[in-house]
Amino acid sequence: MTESYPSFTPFFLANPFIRNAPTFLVARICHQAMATMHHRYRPVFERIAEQEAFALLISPTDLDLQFYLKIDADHPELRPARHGEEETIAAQISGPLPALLELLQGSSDGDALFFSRTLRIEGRTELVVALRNALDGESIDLRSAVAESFGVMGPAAKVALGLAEKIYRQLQHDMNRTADALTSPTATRLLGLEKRTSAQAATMAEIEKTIQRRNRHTRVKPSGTAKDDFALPANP
Amino acid sequence: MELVCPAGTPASLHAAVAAGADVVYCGFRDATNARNFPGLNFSRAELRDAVEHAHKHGVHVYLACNTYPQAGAEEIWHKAVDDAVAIGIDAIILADIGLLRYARDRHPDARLHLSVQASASNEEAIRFYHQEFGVRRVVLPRVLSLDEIRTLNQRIQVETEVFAFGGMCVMAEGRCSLSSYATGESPNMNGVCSPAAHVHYEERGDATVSRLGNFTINIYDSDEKVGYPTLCKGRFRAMDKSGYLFEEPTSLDVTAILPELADAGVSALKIEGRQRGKAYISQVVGAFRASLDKIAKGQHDARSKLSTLSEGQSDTTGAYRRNWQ
Repeated sequence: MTESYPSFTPFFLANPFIRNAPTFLVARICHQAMATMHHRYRPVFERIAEQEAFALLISPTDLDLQFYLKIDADHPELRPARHGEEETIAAQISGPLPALLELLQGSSDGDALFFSRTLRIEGRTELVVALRNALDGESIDLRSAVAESFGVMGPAAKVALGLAEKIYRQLQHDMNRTADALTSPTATRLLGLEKRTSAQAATMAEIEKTIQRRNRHTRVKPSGTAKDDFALPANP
Repeated sequence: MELVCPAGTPASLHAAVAAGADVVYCGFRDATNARNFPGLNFSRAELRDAVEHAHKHGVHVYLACNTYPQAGAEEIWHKAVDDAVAIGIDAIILADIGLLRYARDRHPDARLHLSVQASASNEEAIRFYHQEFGVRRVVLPRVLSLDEIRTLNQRIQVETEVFAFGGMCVMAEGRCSLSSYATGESPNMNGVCSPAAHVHYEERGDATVSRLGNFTINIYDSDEKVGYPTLCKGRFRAMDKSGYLFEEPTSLDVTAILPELADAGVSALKIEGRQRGKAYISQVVGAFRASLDKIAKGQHDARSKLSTLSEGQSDTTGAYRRNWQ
């Protein structure tokens, strides 16, 4: 399975805390999240029950943490992934956490995220497709799910979540500006280099044409029919 | 023009209805339709609820039953037709002549449409389907130019539906065996082109390798958009040059030529993508609804904002404006 470059999202800033958080606490939060999902969105698990139970590795590219997700109609499981359990994984989905959450809620199109390379998939594609279709068949509302998991404190949790989302958006805006400020000098230089490379390529093509024209006068015509080396792509 | 929109799940159907579809087309969860992907499509109970919801909002529902029955297993296809009629589907989209005959004999009042899978692209073929099976609409293959569609519409007795947005096909619809060659399964018989079980992606450094069965279909550089590995959209090497020999991974978008399609006598526009998510359906259906409403008011905006949703993230008007023969 592949390691991707880290994505520069506000979740990236949470890494120092996540790295130092007690494992049992992260596992507990994951367990609670999955229990809520299983309770609220039972049809997702029923829809996918047509497949055998399988496990996925969810790799948010902005977190120093990977998740083990077992899809099973009756006993689904979500927890931090452990070293050495790649063997039991049917497929890996990698991408920035915001994109993964949008996919979960059906607010972004999975294919479009994949075409643009925001998401990467390795392993058994049909299981990822089945999960995507099952999730997309439901209207998943994460805000309500989180509020529900807080029980009587649900309304307060919803307010806190709203505030967190506002801070998140501000952070994202600031981080984008920071990234632009850091990369724009390099991007400008690269653009200049690209223009020069294109100009040189055009000059080379002209030179090549001139050489071909000159050679045409001296070349001996080949006898027989030309061999077409068309072939289907070689096996990997 | 009627806006015919896809739905692979009940949630997608709700999204299509909310976004302004005139018609939503769906399939049963089996090999009777050409989008037989895992976790996709409707159970009988889901379709019954979906039809009720759509009709409540004045939207029609069509059932795609457009694969070719396998010898000895015709019962599955017959049952799909019977159940669709019992559920109250507004039209059944069929391709196989045996199935068309079954539908006509058993359900003479059912409205039958001819699927693109039948590949009926000329006057005589369409007249045959109309006279023999009472077909009321034909979904035209994506091989015809605007002029050809206009001429056809002047000569035939049935409505025409054309593709407006979504994945392209190599213009051999209903007759393509490329997927079957690589995987043993085809859209015609199994309802799936390049089945996901045979699709593999591999990250190799910055490059993404896509494979179908034992074939490497493409190797995408880090700055390239990724596509679904179908053989027709593979990048191959021939005569020391590599490129897209059959077709590029690009998608159809007719936003720019909507008035011309209306002028050519087209009755309905079909959006492809029952395998896509509800976010895609909301955006594409919403954009086409807005465009058609503008045209109804005598306005037209030829610009499309849908390219980020397309395979290859680029679009084409396909054969409608073709300058080749």
